[in-house]
Amino acid sequence: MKTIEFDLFAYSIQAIRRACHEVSDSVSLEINVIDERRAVVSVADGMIPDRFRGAVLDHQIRLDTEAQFRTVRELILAQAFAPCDNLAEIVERCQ
Amino acid sequence: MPITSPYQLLPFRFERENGRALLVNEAGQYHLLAEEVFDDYVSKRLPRTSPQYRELKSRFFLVDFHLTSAIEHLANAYRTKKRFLWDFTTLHMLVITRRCNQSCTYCHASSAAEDAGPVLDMSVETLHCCIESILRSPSKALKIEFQGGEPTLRFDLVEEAVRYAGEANAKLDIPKSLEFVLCTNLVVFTPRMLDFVARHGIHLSTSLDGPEEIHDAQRPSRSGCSSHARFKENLGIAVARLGPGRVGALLTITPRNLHRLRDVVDEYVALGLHSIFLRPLNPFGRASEGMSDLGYTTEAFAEAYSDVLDYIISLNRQGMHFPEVYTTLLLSRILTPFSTGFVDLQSPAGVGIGGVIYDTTGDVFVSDEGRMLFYATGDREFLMGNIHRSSWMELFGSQRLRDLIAKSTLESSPTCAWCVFQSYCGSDPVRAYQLHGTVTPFVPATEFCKRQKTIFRDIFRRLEDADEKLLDIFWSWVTARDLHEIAVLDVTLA
Repeated sequence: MKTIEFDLFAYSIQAIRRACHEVSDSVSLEINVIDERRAVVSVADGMIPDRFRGAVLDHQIRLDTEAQFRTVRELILAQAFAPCDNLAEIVERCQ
Repeated sequence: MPITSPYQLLPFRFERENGRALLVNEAGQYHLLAEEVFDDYVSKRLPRTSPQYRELKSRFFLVDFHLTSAIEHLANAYRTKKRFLWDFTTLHMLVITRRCNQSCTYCHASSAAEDAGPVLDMSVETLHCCIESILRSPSKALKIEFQGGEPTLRFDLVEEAVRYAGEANAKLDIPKSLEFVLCTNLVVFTPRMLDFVARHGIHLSTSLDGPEEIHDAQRPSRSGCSSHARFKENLGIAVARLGPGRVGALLTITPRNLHRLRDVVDEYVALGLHSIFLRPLNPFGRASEGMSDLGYTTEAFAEAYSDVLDYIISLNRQGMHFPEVYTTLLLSRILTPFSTGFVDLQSPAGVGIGGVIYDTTGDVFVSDEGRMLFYATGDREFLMGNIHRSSWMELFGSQRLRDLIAKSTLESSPTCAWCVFQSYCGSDPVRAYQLHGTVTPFVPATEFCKRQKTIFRDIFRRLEDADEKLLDIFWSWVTARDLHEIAVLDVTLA
């Protein structure tokens, strides 16, 4: 088994979970939160730590960016299927 | 606004590979960035004066001042991409008979012998009920596809369907645009059948698995005799009379032709066909029983697909207009804003709302694969109802169908939700159920996902490395124009 440590001030547990989820069909993983600052993922030897770290980083970027444009995405979908006349007003209220 | 002031990110998905980041936005527009530029972009450190800033802004990956306009644009583009949902069920497949004069090694439809008797044919009463139901579909344009078995064994029913549909359609307040497709192996195709097909503008969809020895080995007649010679003769006559635009062929890839796909393409060209659809084996019917002999790995398929695509492109570079249909579909989604509903690859899935199939008994299934599963195993999971006993709303408005469609929506499916290829991909819940026992499998582990991602990456690699001629070839496929017309457009626009 290998262990990969993550700084929870830099990475959220959700990003770590997403990365684990994606490879969970082929690798056995275990996530342990050590303290408020550290989480450790234990993985089978076949896993390449650098690749897993990269996956966690990309998921963190997805989570950060999704949080930024979530409202805009919802407005796009709402406007696509049920267009409203006062979009500018709604956008202003959301900002 | 100062030059370095932050901008607002617009929704996108991404994937990094080989030092590049591929970004795809909500409207399916894509952009490739060097990784370091990508990091600057998401950190909002891109200078407003940089060319990358302008490119990302023009493709709606970021916005500085006009957020409302950007949302309106992306909403319009998204609505256009999902236009197939407004059309509702356009493809209606009628199983005219379950009997067939061929005995294909992979027969997906579990067809019965030619002499199995009329009990396996659709009755005229059922046929009329099916057509009345089809014409109730809200779609303005309907495609009625005659399937089997081999529908030419009961060509009288095909004729009756066309006649009855034409008369019933004429009585509607707003008649619909009707298109007919006859799926036939062309083993028995008389001049009278050809006359009828020509007179009524019917399209032919046939099957060709390669040169004679491959075709005959995979698609023998019930008696074990060669079918290729008669197929070839009838195809030639049909193409000459109808034109290549009204005759298409499907290829089923097995280990027998997987490594001879260039020969298969040559056979298609030699027989006057103008395109090819590289279709992997579906795990239904006889194919599912013989997967140990008929199956192959996703890697082997992807390698063969890429190799034969090189070959097809080389033919097009020599001036031949010969698209690969699946690549064309994906390129249409990547390069154009238009809706390309394809029942086997859309989100939500096309089950029931894109296509539907009516069995000889009047049973209605959400897809061809749904009835194949029923034939092979008796599993009624994808049965929508029966044309004689269920109302139209019971068939098409059931909670069961709604649940199935909701579960097939990539936008809300774990891992697909953030996949960079989501805008171009789709799901097939029937196939997932057949292979994994659930309509919501763990997608990254499925061969379907692995194959799709490999093909998408292959296409994006080609787009990234493309010279002007290759881009013209891809546009000629997407727009169904000859290459010289695209080249003329290039000059005109320049």
